[in-house]
Amino acid sequence: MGSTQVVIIGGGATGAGILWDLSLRGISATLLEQGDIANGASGRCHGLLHSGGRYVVKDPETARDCVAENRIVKTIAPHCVDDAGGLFLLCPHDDPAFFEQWWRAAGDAGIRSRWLSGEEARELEPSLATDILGAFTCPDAHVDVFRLVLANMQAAVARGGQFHTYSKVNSIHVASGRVRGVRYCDTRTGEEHEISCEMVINAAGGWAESVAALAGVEVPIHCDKGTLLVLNDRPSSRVINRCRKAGDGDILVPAGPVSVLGTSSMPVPGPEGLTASSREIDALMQLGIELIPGLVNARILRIFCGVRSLYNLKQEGGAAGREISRGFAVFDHETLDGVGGFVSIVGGKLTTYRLMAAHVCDCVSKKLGIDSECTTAKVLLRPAIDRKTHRRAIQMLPQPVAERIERRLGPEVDRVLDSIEAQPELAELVCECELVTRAELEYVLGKSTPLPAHTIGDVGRRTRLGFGPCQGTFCGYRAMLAGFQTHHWSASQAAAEFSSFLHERWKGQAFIHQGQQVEQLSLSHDLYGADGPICADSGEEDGK
Amino acid sequence: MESNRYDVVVVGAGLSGLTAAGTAVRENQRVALVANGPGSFVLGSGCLETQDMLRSGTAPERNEAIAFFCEMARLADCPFDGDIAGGRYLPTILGGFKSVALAPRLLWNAEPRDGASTAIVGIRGLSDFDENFMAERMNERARTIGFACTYAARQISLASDCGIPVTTLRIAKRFDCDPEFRSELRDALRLAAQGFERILVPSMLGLHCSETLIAQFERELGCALGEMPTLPPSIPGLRLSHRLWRYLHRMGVELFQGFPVQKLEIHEGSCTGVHVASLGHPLILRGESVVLAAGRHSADLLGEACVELDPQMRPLTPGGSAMAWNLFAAGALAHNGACNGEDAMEILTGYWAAKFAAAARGSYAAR
Amino acid sequence: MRPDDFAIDNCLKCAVCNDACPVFGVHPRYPGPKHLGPELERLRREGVATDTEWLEYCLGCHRCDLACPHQVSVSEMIARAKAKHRKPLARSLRDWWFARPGLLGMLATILPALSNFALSMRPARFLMSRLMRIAPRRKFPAYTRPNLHSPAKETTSGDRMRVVFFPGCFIRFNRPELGRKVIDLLERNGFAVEVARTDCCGVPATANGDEAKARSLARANVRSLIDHVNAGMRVVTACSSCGFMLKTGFGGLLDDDKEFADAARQIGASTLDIGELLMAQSDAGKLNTTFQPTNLRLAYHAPCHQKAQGIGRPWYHLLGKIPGVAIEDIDAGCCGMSGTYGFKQEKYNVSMAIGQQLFDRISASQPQMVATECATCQMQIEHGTTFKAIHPVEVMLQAYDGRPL
Repeated sequence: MGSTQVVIIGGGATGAGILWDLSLRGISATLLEQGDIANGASGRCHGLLHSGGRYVVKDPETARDCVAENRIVKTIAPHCVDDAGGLFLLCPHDDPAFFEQWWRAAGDAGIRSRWLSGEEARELEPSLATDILGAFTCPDAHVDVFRLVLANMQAAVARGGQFHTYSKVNSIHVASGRVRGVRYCDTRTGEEHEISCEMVINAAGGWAESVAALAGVEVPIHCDKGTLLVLNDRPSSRVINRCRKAGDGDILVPAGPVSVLGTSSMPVPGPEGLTASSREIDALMQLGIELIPGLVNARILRIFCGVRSLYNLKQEGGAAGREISRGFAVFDHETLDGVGGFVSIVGGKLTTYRLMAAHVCDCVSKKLGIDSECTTAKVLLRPAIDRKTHRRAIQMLPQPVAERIERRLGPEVDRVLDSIEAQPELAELVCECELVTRAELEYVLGKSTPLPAHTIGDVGRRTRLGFGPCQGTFCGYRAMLAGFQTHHWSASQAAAEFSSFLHERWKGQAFIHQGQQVEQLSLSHDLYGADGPICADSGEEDGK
Repeated sequence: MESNRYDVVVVGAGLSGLTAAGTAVRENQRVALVANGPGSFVLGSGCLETQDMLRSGTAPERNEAIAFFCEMARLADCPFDGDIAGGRYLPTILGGFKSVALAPRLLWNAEPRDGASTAIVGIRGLSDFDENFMAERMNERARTIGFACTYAARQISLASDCGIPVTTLRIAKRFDCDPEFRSELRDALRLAAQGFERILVPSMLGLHCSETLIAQFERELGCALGEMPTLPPSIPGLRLSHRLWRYLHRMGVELFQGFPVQKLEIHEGSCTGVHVASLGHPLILRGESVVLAAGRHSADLLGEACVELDPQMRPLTPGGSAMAWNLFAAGALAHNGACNGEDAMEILTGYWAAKFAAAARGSYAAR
Repeated sequence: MRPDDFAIDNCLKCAVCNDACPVFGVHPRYPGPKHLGPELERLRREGVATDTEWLEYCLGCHRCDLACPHQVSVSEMIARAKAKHRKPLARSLRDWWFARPGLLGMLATILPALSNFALSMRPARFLMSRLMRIAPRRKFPAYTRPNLHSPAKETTSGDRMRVVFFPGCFIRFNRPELGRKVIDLLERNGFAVEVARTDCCGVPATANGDEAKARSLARANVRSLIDHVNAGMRVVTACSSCGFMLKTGFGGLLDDDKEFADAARQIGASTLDIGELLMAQSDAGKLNTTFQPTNLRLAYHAPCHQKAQGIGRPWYHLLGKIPGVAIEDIDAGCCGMSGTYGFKQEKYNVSMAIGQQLFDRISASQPQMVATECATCQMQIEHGTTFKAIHPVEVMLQAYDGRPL
């Protein structure tokens, strides 16, 4: 039976931010996440670090929050952010009055912006449609969500924080009107564990309602699904927004070697079982083509859906997804429901995760009777790499590989370089699309890393393995062998891991009905068998 | 006789196109084969799976086509083993077994044999293949299915490749042209094979070299030898493609490789030209008959996503008449959409389409 | 294979290009076209620094493009990256000269005898090897006074089809008499020939990473040729590399140039290899077949840039029409020379290793001569075997007159 001061339920950006914040305040905390990092909304969004531009007109308060947090995240986690900048485009059919409104509101919110003519915009971004009338610049950026969540968690662990992935909370013990502890189940082994604690923070996003129910309280969230497309190209080097009342498909975010186009919005009953329809996908592509005509030839790599959990005040005839504020709310259940030691945080967005965490931690530390201040805005999530290490990396590895591995691992890259020095064949590339070396793969699978990977998907989230055009067809197989070789899995476990990884990857490509990804998927199916579970190897199992 | 006039022009070099070209040339036709690149079968192991066999057509049609293909492969120095009825098991890339009817000889040698002790031999530095993984998996699967054979893992080290990442493609190329390397490999394998009746290696024993050379290698090795499939680039797939191309070249087929067909000229119910998107200006080939075996690309050329065929395998217009009296379809177009992994169907449709194409007009002997 | 789009999205990572790559087949560490091309291209677009010395080892043979089942223009991606590659001074200096055979030829043919002597002198070659990394074992082709002109006006009248001949640097500066043979052969087959005042086609510039030079050469050549093309004349090449370059519209280098883009494409559409042209004559029944009987055993080697044009093997078939000629298509891959590549000291061994298969097959065939359209293929064959190499034009012309070769 473990024991800690605070248990955090939910390993998305908010939960990770809370863990870090608490650790800086010297409060012991353990984070429990039912899947791997950023399992919910965090891992299924654009990865857009908002400049605030999307909210200036509708929700100036949120916009101001974004402006501040945008700057802060860029300061504390530069290795997670690609400060590409963004544009808000005025398209021919959009309302020019809104454009005016936007400009004034942006000024009020403090967003640094300047106006560009259509021609100037096209000079910056040659792929833009020729009928774009003008654009505003803004400090939008892309943030690698997995890296950001990882960074928060790793920093917290270095200061005594604890976390467990694949740990699903199935019971919250409430006694005498106070939370006493939680019971959770390791979803991989089936083992159950108990932790006693003084406080529980419900940061479970789309699952916040079901977690709250474990403590016998209600948290009124509203689930809203957004579909996003990953394109195998970078038609723009900046974030492209459409300057109009927020609608579907009007953001394109360059995300490393790919781009993410989206999104849509429709209410869904819960956070699981999300699918995209081909009509949705076509609609998104059409909207994208209005901004960048070249997208008509783009190769869609993958389609995924994420759920936003929005909170609505209990009202008759609740508004549809988009009108609900993207702001957040902290529920103090002691005050609201008489359950002491239980706090929920719902709503919000990726960009303001740190702010949300700060609010929650302020509330929690007060309740714990600890006088503390939030310092997350000033502390770097990861120290910079020193020059000696950098030189070493450049010497031992080809430049692009060194660059990538430094960005991913930071100072930890020394450990990987050590292993390559001992065994030069570990410099071999396992994922050629994303430049992941065998050494890095083994490091990520190993137990000495603060956040070990348990599945090939986990490896992907930590290294981007399988995120490229082949979607894991080649590198996933090699990762499976690596997991087997490092005694992570037995042979049949490894094959099973690979099977479920592939299925996950295949699902994301299933609705793409044209273009080269279909061929890529065919290749994958042919190699590993499309009929039935691939462990059965084309149906010879079980007496067929 | 014009240089660009042929009896049969075959578009596509997948299994259906290659079979069609081989069939047409055996029917004494003057044949041109035009293809953008090798077919997708090069990514697989070249094995013809049992379930594909069972799904493809009626027995007499199928048997004739498959028999022809096996004969052509044999003449191309890439002999197949097995039989059409199928139902034997060969290892897969994930260490399981799949039911196969026919496979290239070296792959067929990997068939589990009751009572045999087999070593699975990997190579140090070859990271796409793990002998321990394979042995463990195959032992488990063999037990489940009921084979009484055991697999043990062994590894060899090739001095010449120390520190450099090894791939089966590089090994195969060295195997082709470096006799010293072959000796080194043979000696290392012989050592690893001690105490075993048979060894299995990842497929890497040459791409272009002759069967005679490989047979000699096996003899000098002194024990039975089989190959196992790996991640692409797939050596058995590439090997089959190279050998079939060489065979067709030897048989006088004119090969146009590297450029896609951009247009089929169809004029008043007759296909009068095949426009190849060569550099600068298109190359126009004219065939008395044209066999369209270009996989997914075929549908684009016809402008129809899905076509019906008449009994002579001619694509039909939506109205029900043949698009062209001399245009025949093979491969994906002929079995409607399902493109890859249907190797037996590819061969069947390639064979029969070419037969119909050759019979459509009189023929004259190839040059 | 479409040289006008990058088509990076078409790549399925099947690695068939690696199988086709001659360098990959002989060099254990060469990453291969799949990695140097589409894989690194993704990262280049993101702005990641991907420069690597390996780019220099690409032959520019385009076999990867031909082999790709999905029309990825692999070699073009590599060529563009090569142009941005940074080299040490010695090689930069050397490659600067190698990129300009036109300039080199012009200078060397001021006093050709002296130039030839200087280029063959041991001490000079030693210095070149030390200072500029030029392989000492390579023989430079001899320079001759350039005297290739358009034929006199009388022969250009009548109802002959008019063509403009793009000679290229090798013919112009090393073998103008071959150029005269080309003209003679064309005239004997019903053409009226003009020799264009053109510059180097730009292949060596591209191969040596000098995109700016290649582009300026392209513009100059467009200016020289466009009027001829607009007048309905076809452009004829006798060198496979020149032909390749022209047919691609000068490698797409002028695609963004509003003034020249269309003209370049037009010229590309009007260019024919002489073998292609004569084959068309043969198909129309107009080939001059007044061959004297002969007894000649030939081997034919198709240069990579000839294969990359996608015209089949016209010279193989044409020479086969000469009575008494027995011709075998060797078809043994790339010769390994690739223009200036084989002259580079650091690449000499790779070059010879690539050609070994061809050398062996030629030896096994024991021809009297090897016919091939590319000058550097000829050089490589003569360097790596004991057989003589000859341009097919010479074989055909000699066959009319019955003179021995």
